Amino acid sequence: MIQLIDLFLTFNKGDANEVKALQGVNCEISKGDFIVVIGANGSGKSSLLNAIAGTVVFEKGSITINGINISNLKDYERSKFLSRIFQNPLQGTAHDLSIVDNFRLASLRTKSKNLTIKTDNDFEEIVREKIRSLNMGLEEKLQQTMGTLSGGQRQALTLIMATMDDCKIILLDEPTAALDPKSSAIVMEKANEIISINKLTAVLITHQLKDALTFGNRLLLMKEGKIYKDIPSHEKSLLKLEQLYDWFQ
Amino acid sequence: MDFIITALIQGLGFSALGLGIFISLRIFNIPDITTDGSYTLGGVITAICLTHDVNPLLTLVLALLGGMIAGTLTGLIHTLLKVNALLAGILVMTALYSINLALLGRSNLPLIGVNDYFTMLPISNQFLQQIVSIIIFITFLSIFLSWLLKTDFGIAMRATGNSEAMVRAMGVNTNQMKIIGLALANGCTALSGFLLTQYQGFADINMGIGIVISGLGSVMVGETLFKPLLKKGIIYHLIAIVLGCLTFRLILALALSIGLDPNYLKLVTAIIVLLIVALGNIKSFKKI
Repeated sequence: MIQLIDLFLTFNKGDANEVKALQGVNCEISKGDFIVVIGANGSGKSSLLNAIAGTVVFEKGSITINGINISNLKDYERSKFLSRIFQNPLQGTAHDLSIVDNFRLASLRTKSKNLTIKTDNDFEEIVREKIRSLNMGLEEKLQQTMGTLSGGQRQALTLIMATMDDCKIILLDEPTAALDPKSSAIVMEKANEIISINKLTAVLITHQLKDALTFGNRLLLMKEGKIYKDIPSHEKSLLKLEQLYDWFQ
Repeated sequence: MDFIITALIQGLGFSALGLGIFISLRIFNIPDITTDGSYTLGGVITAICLTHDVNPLLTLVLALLGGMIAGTLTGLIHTLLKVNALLAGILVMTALYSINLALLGRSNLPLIGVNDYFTMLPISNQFLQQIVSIIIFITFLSIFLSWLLKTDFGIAMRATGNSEAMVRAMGVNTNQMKIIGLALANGCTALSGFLLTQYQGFADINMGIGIVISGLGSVMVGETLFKPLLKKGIIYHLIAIVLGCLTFRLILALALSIGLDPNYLKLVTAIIVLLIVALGNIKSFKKI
């Protein structure tokens, strides 16, 4: 489904602060894979995700999705292929807009934004039904602005927003890093549920090693801009937390 | 009483500029200095067209287009050349001074005995004619903007100022959105130039100096005094801004009526804006 071929990415090239973020990453992600990426800070996890999302321009290599080369597409052009969940819940939602307006925008991720008003009662009913599954009582607050909600609530909503439009691939960049333990657990459970119900192909970056063991069917360990270990489903289920800690040493 | 009516007409005339500032400042977080130049440009185009017997409605369209081109330039400089938005605005404003002077051919062009937008309305009382035609104008503009901001396109536009990352992830070219937004904002500003040039009966090369500050002030006064309106929806937010423009002009008119030297008008304007901004900051300071 997604092919990463020989990706190289360097920041501040030729400078004293040169950082080799990606040094030849090759990876084939199959349809329905739920890949968890772990690694120390600076190992290239975020660079890998950003390269797929299109927010950084890699200097060598290519990325294809279903055989279509997306390497030269801008980040906003790649939204047709993928949904993204940000580390900072404040970034993933528009705080001055109501919940329903945020959902309207999310429902047009792959479509053009026209001069028509479609946030009518029918649309609100669809949003209400979707939000009800969160059990947070937000379905009665559709006209409230996002800015009045907590980080956990906003992050949970972004997960639902990702499925408002046709979605096959979802990229999650440490979605629980800014949340308290309880909200983190809710958001991860919800993410897992959405990925399995909708049979999504997912790439999750996390620093929570427990989450890395619990979720996903494949584990990538990044080190110095390369994929250091690629652990398939049957081996991943046998992994122990201690082993993961050892690899970080 | 006369000064109050004058202040009301001026306030209504400046509402288009206030709505433009609302778009650049509140939606895109850009205090857009281009305003000074695009307001004058709107006035200059209006004066030239009307003295050449161009139809007032066609004049309106041309003034609007002039402002939109100015805004587009600021947007292009800001997004494509990655120049700070404030500096981009200052650059275009400075360049517009020369362009306005070149278009006008002299520093002041009076409108005497021309057919203008006001005279299109068949009312014999001049005050009434001006007030009614400006109210019609601002009503149409507010309804249009409120409709635009509620469309899918408008939702994407409003989200752009909040989180660019999110809006790009939703498939929106945020650079393009900023350019359109600045064009729209400066188009509105030029419409104020269109109205006030006709109201005061002349276009002047210096008519735009410091106008951006009174626009910012009007938006802030409106949002502070009419806060309860803001949560009721977009059209109420726009109404609060129009009311802010009226209040701001009334404050200045009152200051003049109690004997303020007109030379200090810009100083008073700057102090009012500073007070409003500072009061907001002091309030949040206390919470800490």
